[in-house]
Amino acid sequence: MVLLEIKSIYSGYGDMEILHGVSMELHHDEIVTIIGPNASGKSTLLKTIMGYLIPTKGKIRFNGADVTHLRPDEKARVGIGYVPQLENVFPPLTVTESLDMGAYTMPRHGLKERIEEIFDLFPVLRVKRKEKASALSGGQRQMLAMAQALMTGPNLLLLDEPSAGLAPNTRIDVFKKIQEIHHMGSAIIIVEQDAYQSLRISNRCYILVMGQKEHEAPADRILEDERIKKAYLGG
Amino acid sequence: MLFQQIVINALIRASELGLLAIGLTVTYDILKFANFAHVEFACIGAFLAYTMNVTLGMNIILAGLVAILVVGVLSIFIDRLVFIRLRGASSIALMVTSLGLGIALRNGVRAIWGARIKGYAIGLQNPVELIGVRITPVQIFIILTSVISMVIIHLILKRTKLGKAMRATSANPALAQACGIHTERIVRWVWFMGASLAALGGIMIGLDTHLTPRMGFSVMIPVFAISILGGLGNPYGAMVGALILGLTENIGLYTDLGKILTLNGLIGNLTGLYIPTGYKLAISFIIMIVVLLWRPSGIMGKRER
Repeated sequence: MVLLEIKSIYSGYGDMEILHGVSMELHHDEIVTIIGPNASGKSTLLKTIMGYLIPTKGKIRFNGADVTHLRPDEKARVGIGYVPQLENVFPPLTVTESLDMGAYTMPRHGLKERIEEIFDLFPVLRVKRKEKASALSGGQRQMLAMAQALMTGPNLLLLDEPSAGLAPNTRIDVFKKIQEIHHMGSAIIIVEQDAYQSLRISNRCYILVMGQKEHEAPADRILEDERIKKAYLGG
Repeated sequence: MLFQQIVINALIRASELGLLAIGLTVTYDILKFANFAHVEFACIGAFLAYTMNVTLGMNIILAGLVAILVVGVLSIFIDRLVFIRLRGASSIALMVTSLGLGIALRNGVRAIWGARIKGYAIGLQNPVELIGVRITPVQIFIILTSVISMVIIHLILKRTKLGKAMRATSANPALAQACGIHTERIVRWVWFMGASLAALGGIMIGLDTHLTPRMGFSVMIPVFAISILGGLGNPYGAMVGALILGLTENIGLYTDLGKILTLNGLIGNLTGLYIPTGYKLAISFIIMIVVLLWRPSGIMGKRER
C-alpha cells in the first residue's frame, strides 16, 4: 500500500530550481535510500516532502491525502517525522525536555510512559536524561535527534544523512537503530552520501542526479550493479 | 545613607526595570532583534492603567491587569501589522523599524494623554520603617509583584509546554516546526509575554513615581544595559543584571567620592562629593560599555549555540 506519493515535483530555493520533476513513491513497510552526487537535490527533496520548501509544480500525497502545501508543523501532525543532517537537536534543552518537544502534538497523559519506551529503544539517552543536548557527543546527539522524531510514532521518518560525521562504530549503531525503528512500524526515507550501509537495510533505492530521478531499483540490485557502484558509491 | 536603604532602593529599581528587561530579552531570544519600541509598551501600559484607574475609577490592581492584557494584545496586533512583513529581514532593518515604531507609539501616547505629568489614584503613601529602612507600602507591593512575576516566568519557561516550546523555537526554529510546533503561534505568545511584562514594569514605575509620555524612553538605556549585562536572550541574566544595575546606580549616587579620593581623609580634606542624580543614566552607559568590551555575551550569555 502506497504511503507517500510524489508526482513530478519542481522545487528549490527562491528562483533557484533544484528539483525538476521528481516522482517517487514509498510503501508502508519500506525503507528507501536516496543516493546521488553532491548538489543532486537529495536534501532538497526531503525538505520539500517535509514542507520547508513548497513545490512550484507537482503533488505530494501522504496516506491518500494531498499534503503538498502543508507547513512542516502540519506535516508533523499528519505523521511525518524529520531528522535534519545538521542542527538536529535543541542545544539548551535537556534530553527529557527535547523528547517532550518531540511529543508536542501528543496529549500530555501517557507522555512519561512514551519517554520510558523511547529510553528502552535508546538506553544511552536514559543515562543522559538530565543533560543538555549541547553536552552530548555526536553519536548521542544523532540518537536524540531520532528519538525526538520518533516520540509521536510517525508513519514516515525522513532521515537526512543520519551517519554523517560519526565514528564507524557509531554509524553501525545508528543503522541498527534505524532497522529497529522500521520494525516498530515506520516507513523510512534515508538520504546518504556513504550509502553502502544504508542500502543494506533498504528495500529500494532512488538515484537523483542534477535534480532529476536517474534510476530506481531494489536496493540489493543496486549493490550488485558494478556500473552504479562505480558511479555513485565510490567503487 | 544607610546601606540597607541603598539595597532597598536598588531592589525597587531592579524590580521595575527587571520586568522590562526580561520582556525585552525574551522577545530578543525568539525574534532575534533588539526591539527599541519595547519600552513604549511600558508607557502605553502605564497610561492605559491610568485611564482605567483615574478616569474610569477602577481599582488600580484591576486597572493594571486590564492594561497588561490590552498591551499584550496590542503587541500581537503590531507584530501582524508591521513585523510579520519583515520575517527573515536583517536585524538592522528590524531594529530601525522598531526605532521608528517607538517614536510613533511615544508620540501617540502624547497625542492621546497629553504631555502633563500624571499619577495614579492611590492616595498619599506614608513610608513605614522596617529594619531601619523607610519604604512605602506601594514600594513593598512593587518588589513583591516583581518577584512573583519572575517566579511565574521561570515556571512558564521551565515547566509548561508553552515555555519549553518557546525555548525550543528560540534554539532551533526549523526543528521546532518538525516537532509540530506552530512557531508563528509561539512568536505571538512571545510578543504577548514580552509586552505584558513591559506594561507591568511601566505600571510599577508609574506607581513609584509618575507618568509622562517619555517614561518608557527614559528607561531605555538602563533596560538595554540590564539585558546586555545579563546576556541578551537570557531572562535569568536579566534578573541578575537588574539587581546589579540597581545596586550600582544607588551605590554610585550615594557614595561620597570625596572620601574615596582622599582615602577617607588621609591625603586631604574633601567630603560631600557625589555624582549628581542627573547623571544616573551615565552609570547605565558605563555598565553597558564595560560589559560590551569585557564580555559581549553578558555575564550569563548563551554559549551553547
